[in-house]
Amino acid sequence: MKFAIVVRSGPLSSEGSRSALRFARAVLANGHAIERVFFHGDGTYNASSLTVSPQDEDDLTEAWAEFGRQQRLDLVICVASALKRGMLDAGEAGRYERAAASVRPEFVISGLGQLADAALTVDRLVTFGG
Amino acid sequence: MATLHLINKSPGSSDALKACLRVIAADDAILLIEDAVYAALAGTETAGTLAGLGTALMADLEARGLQRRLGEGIATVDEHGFVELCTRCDRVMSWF
Amino acid sequence: MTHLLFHLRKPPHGSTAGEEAVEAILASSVFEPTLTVLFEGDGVLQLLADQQADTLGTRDVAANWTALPVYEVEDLRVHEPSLRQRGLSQADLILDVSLVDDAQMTALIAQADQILGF
Repeated sequence: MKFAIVVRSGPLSSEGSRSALRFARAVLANGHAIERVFFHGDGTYNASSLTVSPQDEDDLTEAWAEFGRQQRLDLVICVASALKRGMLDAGEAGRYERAAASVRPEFVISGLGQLADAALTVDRLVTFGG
Repeated sequence: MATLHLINKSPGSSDALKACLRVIAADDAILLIEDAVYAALAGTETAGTLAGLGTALMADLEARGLQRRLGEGIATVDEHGFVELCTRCDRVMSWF
Repeated sequence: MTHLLFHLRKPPHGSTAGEEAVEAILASSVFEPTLTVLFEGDGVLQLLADQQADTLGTRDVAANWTALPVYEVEDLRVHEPSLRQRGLSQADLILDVSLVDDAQMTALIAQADQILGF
């Protein structure tokens, strides 16, 4: 089956992101496919390249990036949500003259059409962290 | 055409579980994750309602020290079981 | 034809859930699926009349909802028990909506292919 996973909370705002990552790993381990992971609202914070985590804590931004990279997943953060939250790739940082880019390269900034496309394509859509 | 209802908030903090129970269909399933596993605490009214109906995610129960305080008739699954529940139902509805 | 059900449970202003839902609904409408928006629980308060966004300096969320019919998103349902529990009726809302009771909400959920919760 093809899954879409929607993440609506940031790495620390609730458990949603952590639950979503555990679920995503199990989806693949069970032999299913992930069409897209779409990060919306505060979920866009999961793409941050600037977090500094204490040694004894997992860094969810790093965990998502590594998972996405290893499994070649489509990790998409919603452009409208991202910009407002200071989640910018190099292009956006340049365009809006901001001091730094803040999004890990494993994530793509794109529009809500990607969420809609996933919703209309997959077998199961599961939302975490609202 | 069964629905898997996903609840993530404790009954003390949200009416999500209560609202879900109003409209749940006969062949639907409920999975408690994150703080919603507190609804499965033995001796609570919610645990009574969820007997034979609700399932709780094991990792969330264990993190909260609930593994030996689980209400009777409430099933548990790990992440693989979570995925399987999703494939057995026709759609997943997350209540926030 | 894929049937998408958007489910709103949160009130406006206290979180961005409503705004995010409107944006997602409008983006989905471009693909012309079957779209239903269901307001339930505190979500019915999204449509309450007389909201004055300028007092908080935030976006006019209520105005966003009135844009939906302009984009031909017209299947808007409000959970009537949620409305009544809040001392409200259809007359208090800014849009024409269909009221649904518990049984109708159950049926609506069973008709959807995917449900997006906010």
